[in-house]
Amino acid sequence: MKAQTTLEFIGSFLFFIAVLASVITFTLSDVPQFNSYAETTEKNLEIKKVTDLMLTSPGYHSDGSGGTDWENHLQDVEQPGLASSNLEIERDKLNVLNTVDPTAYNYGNFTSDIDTSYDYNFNFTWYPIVETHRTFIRESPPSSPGIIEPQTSFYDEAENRVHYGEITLEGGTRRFLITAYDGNYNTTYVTDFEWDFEGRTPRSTGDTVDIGGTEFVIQDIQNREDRPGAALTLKTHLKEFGRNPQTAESTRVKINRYALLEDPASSEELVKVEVLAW
Amino acid sequence: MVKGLGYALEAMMASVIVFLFIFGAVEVTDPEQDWNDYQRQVAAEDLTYTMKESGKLNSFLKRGETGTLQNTMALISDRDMEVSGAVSNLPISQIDIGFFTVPDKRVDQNIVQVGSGDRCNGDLQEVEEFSETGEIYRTDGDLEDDYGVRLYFANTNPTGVEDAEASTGFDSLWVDNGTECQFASNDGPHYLDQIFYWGDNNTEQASNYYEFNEIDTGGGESRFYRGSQAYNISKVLDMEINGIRTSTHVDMTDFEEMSNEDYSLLIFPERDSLPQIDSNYDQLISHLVSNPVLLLMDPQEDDIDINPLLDDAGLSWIDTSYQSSYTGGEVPASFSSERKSLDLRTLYTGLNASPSFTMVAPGKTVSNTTDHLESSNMLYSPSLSYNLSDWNNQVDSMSSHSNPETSCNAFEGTANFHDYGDVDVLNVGLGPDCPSDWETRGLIIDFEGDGYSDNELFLNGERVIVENRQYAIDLSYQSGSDSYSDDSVEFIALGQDNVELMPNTASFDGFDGNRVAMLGYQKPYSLDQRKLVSSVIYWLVKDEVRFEGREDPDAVSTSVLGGINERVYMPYEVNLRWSE
Repeated sequence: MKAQTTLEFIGSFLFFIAVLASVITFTLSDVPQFNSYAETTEKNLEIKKVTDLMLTSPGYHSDGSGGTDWENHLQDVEQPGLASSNLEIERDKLNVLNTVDPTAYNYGNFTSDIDTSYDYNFNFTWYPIVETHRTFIRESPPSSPGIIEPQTSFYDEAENRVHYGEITLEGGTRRFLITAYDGNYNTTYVTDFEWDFEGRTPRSTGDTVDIGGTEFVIQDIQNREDRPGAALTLKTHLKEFGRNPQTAESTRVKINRYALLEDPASSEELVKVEVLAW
Repeated sequence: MVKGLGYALEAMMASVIVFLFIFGAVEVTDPEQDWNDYQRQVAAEDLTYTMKESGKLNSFLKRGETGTLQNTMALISDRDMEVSGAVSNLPISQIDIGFFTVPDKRVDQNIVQVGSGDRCNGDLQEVEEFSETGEIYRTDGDLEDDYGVRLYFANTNPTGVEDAEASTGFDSLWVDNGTECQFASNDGPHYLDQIFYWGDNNTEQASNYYEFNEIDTGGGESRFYRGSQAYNISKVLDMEINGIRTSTHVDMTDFEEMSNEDYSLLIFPERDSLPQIDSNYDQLISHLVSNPVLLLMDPQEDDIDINPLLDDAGLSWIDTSYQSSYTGGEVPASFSSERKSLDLRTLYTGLNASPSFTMVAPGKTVSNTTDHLESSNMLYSPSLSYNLSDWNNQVDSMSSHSNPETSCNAFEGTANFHDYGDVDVLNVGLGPDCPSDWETRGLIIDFEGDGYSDNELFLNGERVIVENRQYAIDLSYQSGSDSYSDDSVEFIALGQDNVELMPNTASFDGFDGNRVAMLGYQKPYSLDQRKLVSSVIYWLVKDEVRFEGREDPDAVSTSVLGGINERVYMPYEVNLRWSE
């Protein structure tokens, strides 16, 4: 028997090897992308899990028979959680978060109580909305509530329909008048004394208002159709907690969560929770 | 050589297939995009939920402030996610109602310019202050004599008047209600298309509300549409419903005006509207294909067949007597447990109306939504019923006849069905022993007059529909004697017999339309009745309110079910779509 190999067989074999090599080469170039995808997936899933835990669970401590008021038992925290109910943050629990203070619930406690693979940074920003849907015609204010209008020429130049409303935050109540110029509601007057706006200075977006010792920025006055002037949004930064995101060495994943702030001294308003993980 | 080339081609094909297969399988979608959508979805769901839980969503929707909702959400979302959406089941859309004015309520009045010798000449300062031209006209017609009230007209060129074109001329009027040239703030100015009170307290019975419809100073004429009924209903529409501020506008209209206006709903009051509908039916259909119609009238039997709208809507007349001696007027009204009826009751209760109320019946008109004639109970009178037994039909003393089914006896007679006429019927014995027992008998009805052989056999209790009426066959009927006999049968008319107070339908013969509803006419309606009319208006319009964001929505969407729980729980649904 004589070993024989045809030229066609050798040609076909070499061609097949060449194709196989090409496939492997192309496929291997996708492997880093797979790795990146897997890491992104893991970060997104973990950030959702961690934020769910923080915003939907009250947290627990093991002191005595245990309980959910872990903010009063910082040495025995089993699991931190900020929620009094689903997506409702308890102010007292938020207050005890402090990134570095050893006497507070710090980031070290957080990472040891919650088993995370990544570092986190939380930013809590409060967005109280003043509903200013009630209106009157300028120079004809209502008697109930007894509104005293600003006595300035600038106010006298405002358009006829004036919006008003009030809000209670941090134990303080503030009343707002909103006036329009050139069809745009862009000016507000704020008073802390009943509905007396006499002598109050006009403010616009970007200016600040002190309510109960907290400084709020006038973030926006609603000017869209249906209906302009009907709301004014305030903003104040409540807390940052976690590692400095500037220290991140890998890609950061960000998710925004929203909750309500439960504070006995304030009306129930929205909080934006910006969370970074890396 | 050829064989070798074949191997090479096979190898190439196999390699290409393997190559394509592997690359198809390992194709990686963009992870950043996938997870970006995920993050936006989580944020959108949180934001929607917290807006609802905070009560802001309810507050904004109750006031129809969809723009405030959009603005708040876009502002708090630092990704500038714009939101578009739709709100269902809440009466927050702008409702423009065209209230048809029947011809005899369109009033023309002569007008003349106020000049020397006029009783108020030189004493019309309130009007002159508004007048741009200094010219003032006044009425000089019979209504002025009737009411003892004179109208004064001026060209004020106001801002904010709906009919900008019309307002380029004379556009405003003042009512001198017996005060001799003195005008209070509520005496005017009343602008074109606005409804005003033409009368004074001394002539209250003769006074009415009118819409200022048209003025032609050159021709010396002015035109007014009487609108007291519309005005009274509009006052109820101005009320909050379940704490919700609605936005409605009532405009007295005619078919000429309808051709230039898009109304959310047309109301045709009084039977006198029907000939007008007949004459302008194509125009009405063009409205009805997308918007509803409410009829406030008491039609007569002939109207149902003659008027094309009532005919195409399939409304029917129950030509039978009432079970009581009712001859018209108000009767106790009630809602039923039907879904539509519960929806209407929710709106009615939301207007703080009395649960115990009365309404007038729109004649004997019924919706006739089943395959046989009967009233619907969406809104009905629990204490007033039709006497359907008028349609019952007894056949006695039938004659002996051969039995096409068995060897038992058989009896033939003639039944007379209401609106149909005579039909031969055959009462046949069944069973091997032919017992004299109604349970073993059947009935054959010869509708075609072609004999009994090929017709269906009905048993006792079975139903037959004749001329749109349903009957139960009673073979146990005893014709005036205590003992049963085989030679009789009774047809018992069946159906819902409570008087229907709001016939309505969304099904039309020959075209796809929105909905027509009819309520009995009463002048004036009581407050609860006006609340019912208003509820029906909201129920008929029940528009979905849509709002568009400043950017086109993307793949992220959220939905929230909520409810406004004040006088009554009014559920709603908000569907939101978010931009990237």
